[in-house]
Amino acid sequence: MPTGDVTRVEHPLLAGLSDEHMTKIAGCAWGDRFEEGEYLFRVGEVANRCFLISAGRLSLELDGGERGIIRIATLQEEDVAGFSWIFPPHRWNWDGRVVEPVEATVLDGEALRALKTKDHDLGYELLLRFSAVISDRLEATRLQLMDVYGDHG
Amino acid sequence: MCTVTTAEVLPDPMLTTPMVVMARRQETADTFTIDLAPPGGFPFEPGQFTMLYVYGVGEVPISISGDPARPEVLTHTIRRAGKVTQALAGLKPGDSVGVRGPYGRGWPLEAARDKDVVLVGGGIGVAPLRPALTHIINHRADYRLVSMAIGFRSPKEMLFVDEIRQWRQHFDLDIELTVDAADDTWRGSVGVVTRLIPMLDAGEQAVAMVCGPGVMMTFTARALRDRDFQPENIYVSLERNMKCGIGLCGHCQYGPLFVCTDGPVRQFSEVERLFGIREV
Repeated sequence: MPTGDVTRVEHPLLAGLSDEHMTKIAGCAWGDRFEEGEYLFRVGEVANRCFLISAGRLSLELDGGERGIIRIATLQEEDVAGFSWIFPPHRWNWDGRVVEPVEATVLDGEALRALKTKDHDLGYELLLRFSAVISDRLEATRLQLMDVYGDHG
Repeated sequence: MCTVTTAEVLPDPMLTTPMVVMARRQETADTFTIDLAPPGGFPFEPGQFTMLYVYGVGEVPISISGDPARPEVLTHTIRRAGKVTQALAGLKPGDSVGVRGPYGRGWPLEAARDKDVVLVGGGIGVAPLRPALTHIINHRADYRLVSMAIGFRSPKEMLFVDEIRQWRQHFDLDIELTVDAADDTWRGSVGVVTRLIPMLDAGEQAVAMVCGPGVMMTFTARALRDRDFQPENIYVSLERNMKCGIGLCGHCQYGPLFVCTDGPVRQFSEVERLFGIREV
């Protein structure tokens, strides 16, 4: 994906959005590329971005002190990184580190918040779509917690 | 005097055939693979199992994990979980083990011909799928798009590491791998195996073969349904405690099914309801 402004965001998250809403979102979006080892966000920082990944792999992880780095999930093509921009206090809860060079459409969270306040229909569409992302992530985390491959005999 | 001719004596299905251990490989801390030498060969269908008898200890059902095109070697990949598998873990090349089988219904490789195929394996559940994938590789022209999603608990608990690396080098196979937990030395995917399913190449009428813990198979089937897989095209491999392996004792009864003879492989649409009943 070329780096820079976009006129239309091609990502499953926004599939089916009206042209009017797409134009508004494209106004606060740009394409970018991130190299291996680069952090897209760090825990505790202000969350004012969202990344719609089109290639590469991003690791969501935390520094566990003596345990070392704890990698909780990886995100790749067609995934969405970042929904902390939606909810106060708008802080990242995880580090987002690039494992394989990532190409993504970056959305400006602050601009999106302003948009959804002004245009409630767009706000509804966005919250519906991000809720599905959060729901999927929650279900995957629950499955991880179940430790299905462990020896529970 | 009553005489019985040889032709009238049916082989006793409960009798084991002694086989010698040819090789043993440690896969992970608690999982190992043994190759047995069956006298006269041991043809089987991918997905079938045998009853392995450790003399003086007991018998367990174990899925066959080897190459169906090589009946001269009978391979099982076994996780140490109880008394008998613990004894199997102690076998060395040259030791002997009793074998009955092969038993059960295998994977629908005939029904999957000329279709896209998706295999989804989790943990030790990758072992019963290995003969299916090996068969597909051996008869690649008979199948369309072929992909496999593999999930393990952690990088340390991965099975068939070298073989998975070889599978991933096939240009006409899409092999996706993930682990549930990892540190930063792991460069691959982290997350549950169901998250790989949207990434797999498969079109309409694709056939899915799924093997792993029950919870994993339920969620995998749900994710496949979300991708418009027809319920009757999703196959799962059931696991129950077995005793006779030939449908007599009822130990492996699962609702109306005897897993040993009616399974282990069944269409998910046939067993989905049973998965939700705690009492079964």
